[in-house]
Amino acid sequence: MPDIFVADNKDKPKNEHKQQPESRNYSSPHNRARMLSAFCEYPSGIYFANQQKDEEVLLFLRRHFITNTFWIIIAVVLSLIPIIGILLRFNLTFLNVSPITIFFYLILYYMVVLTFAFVQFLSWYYNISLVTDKRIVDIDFYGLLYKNVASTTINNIEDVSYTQVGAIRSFFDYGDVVVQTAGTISHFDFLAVPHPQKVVRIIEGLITKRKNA
Amino acid sequence: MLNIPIIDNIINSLSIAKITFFALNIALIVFLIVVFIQVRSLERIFKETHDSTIIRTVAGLMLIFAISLFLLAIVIL
Repeated sequence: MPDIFVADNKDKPKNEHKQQPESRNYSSPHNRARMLSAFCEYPSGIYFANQQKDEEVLLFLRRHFITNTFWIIIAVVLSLIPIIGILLRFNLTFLNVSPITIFFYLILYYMVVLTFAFVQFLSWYYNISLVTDKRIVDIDFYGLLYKNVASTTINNIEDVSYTQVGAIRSFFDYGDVVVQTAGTISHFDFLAVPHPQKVVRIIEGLITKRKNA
Repeated sequence: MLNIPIIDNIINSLSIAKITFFALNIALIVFLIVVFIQVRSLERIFKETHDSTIIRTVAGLMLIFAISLFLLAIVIL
């Protein structure tokens, strides 16, 4: 006769599927930071200059990807301009140049637009903040020629706070994290990083851990 | 005129549009060389094992494409 009701065996785990990820996370907490990642805890495959052998990266931060919207829109609009011109059959005969020259100009134009987008992407991609178990590292890269790498030890950190102003920032959950230090550089700014409250909590945890040690 | 037949022929065959094209193309090539050098130097500061290779490859391909465009323009224009 088939059983109508079978009581759960309390000794056995209720759901094996739920336990699997926990055990997997415990044994391997590292996450792969993807190309468009802006926030990654325990990232794997990330190295920076002057990294010590026993130094582990705990947090990897970039500006939120939504901050790239402006230049992406500009690049898309610039890409569409020649197509719109062709569709509207815009007359270029007044320029008195051959069609092959116009074709070469068109390729050059798209190369310039692509270069613009690429440089903007690089500015985002190489603006990085890292939190390791020993220090915080801030890599700034602006306008192709400006590079700045700053770091400070966890012991030097005095205060961590974050600011999240505006509806867009609240909706996409990103904000500015300010780390006050006792070193030569008075503060570190992690601008427009995702989950700022989580970042603050992790850095505060590190400070507490250092103080207790 | 420089009274050098080859150079004079080249100058005569070039219009303002073509000269501007070559100037812009050279400027783009120089800019892309700077981008490539910066990508290489930034790779030494920060490296993601897989993605850094992709970015360097894209920068290199863009530079190669710009140089190819310049050479092709010399032949065709």
